[in-house]
Amino acid sequence: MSDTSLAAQEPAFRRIGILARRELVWVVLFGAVVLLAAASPNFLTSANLLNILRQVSIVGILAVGVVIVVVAGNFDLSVGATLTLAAVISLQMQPTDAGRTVLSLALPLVLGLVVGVMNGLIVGRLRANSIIVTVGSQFVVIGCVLLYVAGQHVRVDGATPFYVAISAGYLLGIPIPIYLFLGIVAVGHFLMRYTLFGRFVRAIGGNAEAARLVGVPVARYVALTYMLSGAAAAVSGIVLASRVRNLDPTVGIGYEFSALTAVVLGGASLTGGRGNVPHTLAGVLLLGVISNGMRLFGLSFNLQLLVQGIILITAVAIDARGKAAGR
Amino acid sequence: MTGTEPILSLSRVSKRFARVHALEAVSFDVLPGEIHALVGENGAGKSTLIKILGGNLGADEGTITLKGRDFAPRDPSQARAAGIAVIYQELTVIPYLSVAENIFLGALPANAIGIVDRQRLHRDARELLDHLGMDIDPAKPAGELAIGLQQMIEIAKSLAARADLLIMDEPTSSLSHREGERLWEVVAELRNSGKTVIFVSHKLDEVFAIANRVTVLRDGRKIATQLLADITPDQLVTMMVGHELHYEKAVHAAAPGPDILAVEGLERRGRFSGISFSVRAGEIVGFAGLVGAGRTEVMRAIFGADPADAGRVTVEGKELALGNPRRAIRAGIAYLPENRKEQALFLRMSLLENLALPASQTLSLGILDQAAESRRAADFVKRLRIVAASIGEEVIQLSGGNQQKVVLARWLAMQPKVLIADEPTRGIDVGAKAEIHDLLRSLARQGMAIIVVSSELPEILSLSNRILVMRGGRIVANLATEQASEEIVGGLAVGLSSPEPANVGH
Repeated sequence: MSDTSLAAQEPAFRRIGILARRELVWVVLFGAVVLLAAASPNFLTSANLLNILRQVSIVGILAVGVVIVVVAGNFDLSVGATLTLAAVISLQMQPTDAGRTVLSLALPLVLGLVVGVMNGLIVGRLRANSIIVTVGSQFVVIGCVLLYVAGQHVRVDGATPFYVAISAGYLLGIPIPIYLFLGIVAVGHFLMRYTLFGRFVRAIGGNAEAARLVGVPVARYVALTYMLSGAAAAVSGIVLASRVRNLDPTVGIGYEFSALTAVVLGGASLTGGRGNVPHTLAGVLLLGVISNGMRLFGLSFNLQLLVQGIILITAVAIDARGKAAGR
Repeated sequence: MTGTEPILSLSRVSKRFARVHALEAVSFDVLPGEIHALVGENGAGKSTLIKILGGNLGADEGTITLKGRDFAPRDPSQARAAGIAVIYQELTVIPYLSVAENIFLGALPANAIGIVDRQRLHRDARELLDHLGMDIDPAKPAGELAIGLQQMIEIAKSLAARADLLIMDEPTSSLSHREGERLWEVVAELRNSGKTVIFVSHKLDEVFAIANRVTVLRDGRKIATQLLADITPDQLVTMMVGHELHYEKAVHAAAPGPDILAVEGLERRGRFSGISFSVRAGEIVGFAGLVGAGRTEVMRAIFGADPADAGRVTVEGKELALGNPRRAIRAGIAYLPENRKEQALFLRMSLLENLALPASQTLSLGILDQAAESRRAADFVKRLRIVAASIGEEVIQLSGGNQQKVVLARWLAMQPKVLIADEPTRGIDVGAKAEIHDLLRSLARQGMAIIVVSSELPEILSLSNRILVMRGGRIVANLATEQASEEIVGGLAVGLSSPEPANVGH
């Protein structure tokens, strides 16, 4: 029935077809790049491409955390709030000397992990619905932030060069946030693909009951996925704080949906088990290219939100249709 | 029956999927008023055929004639309208609707403004249920019924839809022996009232007991259509697998070793109580009993998949803390659950990863040792003769038998001391079944302590050295296989013969 010789005989075009469907998000990204390059001479310049990469790095770092949670079969809608918390706390630490700079990097990370642990324990141990839990924790976190800063902007003047460099620095002509983003992509991919952690997470998302029956400590690993996404959100928050240095305490709201859109564009299954970091990277880049293209053609920010909504719905619809056809 | 026009006639029906010919030029007739069995190993094309008849798949080539007219349903509703009712293995009863609503779903009796006439609905349902000899309250939510009764609801549904050709896919696979017999009585009555029934089954005793004719499929081709009166079970098996099979009788280990697993006074309130037994190295202990007797529940409690309220489990004398599969695995217990797809497999993960899961090989820091895992997977593929395109293939692509081998291999990779196999060959074709039986026997010979839970008495009798019979949450008998027969074990399971308390508990 299913032997190797048959697979070898498959015509080349069919194999290409299968490959294209599996790597659909890269194909679409490539198509978008070609279209925009043809339409605008300003698109395919290294300055513009680096600009796109820098722009997407904050959402991109978030998305790496989110895709890990999604592969385990859960959602994390609190990452936008965690990002805000991290950014606000980072600035509030007033990174104006070396000691304070360390604090303004470390404390947000710790808080990101704390939010992750709380989400993770409630979803993992109590098996509560992850959408509701993380929407709830989103409110709790934002509420705490607003109480803490009494609704006022937070700002820092005279931040250390190191702190500013996190968002504004360059290394070999490439902005630092791009290194951070791609580095976190690489770490995320390595974790998911080459470690026991990744295998357990994929197993839990694929079939939680079967995972439990082969001895996977399900609750612990679900909690770990939330800790990673909390930490990723904190890194995003620090990058954002370093860039703006004068923050509206509601700045991060909506970021969770951009991250989720990228994850869905990357073909991750919303019921868990399927999804990976490189495809999520492609999803992030696709979002960035589309919004950059719209800007090149002078379309307003308000329209971009609308387009992003349509993209999210389209991606989910394609995913659902693929599933129906697969049965 | 002969001389009548066929109600259904297939002529050179073919269906091809990307890589495989699922059906190749299959032709046969089904006569009105007959019970026609469809048999073949997994992957033979039975399910594809049923889906085509039910309107869930279109044929690529060939013609189908139903009651003298061309039949090519584009969707299930067209098949229903033409008088075909398909009852799939996964029942489609809607749990929160009443029995009556389920039966008449799609054709609820309603008045002019669409309000359901509940009295008429219940009266009609009652009439149909009476006709099937079932005493069920039509107002009861269907989800509260036992699975056997839900199957009857499916049949009642097909009668309500005035189908005259019923197609059933492994109708008894999740039924107890008694429920199965009741089902076949109903099917026989349907035939007597002029309906035609096609059913798929892996259980050849059923085929011989109930069907008039049988069509054998193998690798997508029709091998034969025969009157069952004309052939023997051995001949049928030969047609299905393409070569002769030799059933090994239970081979008894020369001298079973020391007790490996000991269970004392295990209890889970409302499910089972007073469960005490032990299994020695090199021994296969069979657990017989009806579905619902508590066998699976006991095994799950031993493995820690469900909590236990009382009792002790020891492995090689060391007490096992209950309630956590991880501890059981660490103590050397492996558990093959009864429901492969729901409880064991990661369908979208590769064969390699499915096989690696309880005993992943790592370098350090939790980094997977991919080379070692590939070697091990390739080794098991060869040893257990797992048929797959590669070790990277998703297990959803494998046949049931090969999937089960993957689950077995996964546990063998961690070299367990105790192997609990719950319905190890359910829904698996004859050839793979024999291979799994051989494997279990050879594992026992190597000194593993094995428990086999099975609802198929021939399987229990041919595998076990010793048979424990459960009824109503208790062990009611402990028999050496020499003293056992299908009649004795079956009788104990339903409570016809009295238990022998002197023997209980080993």
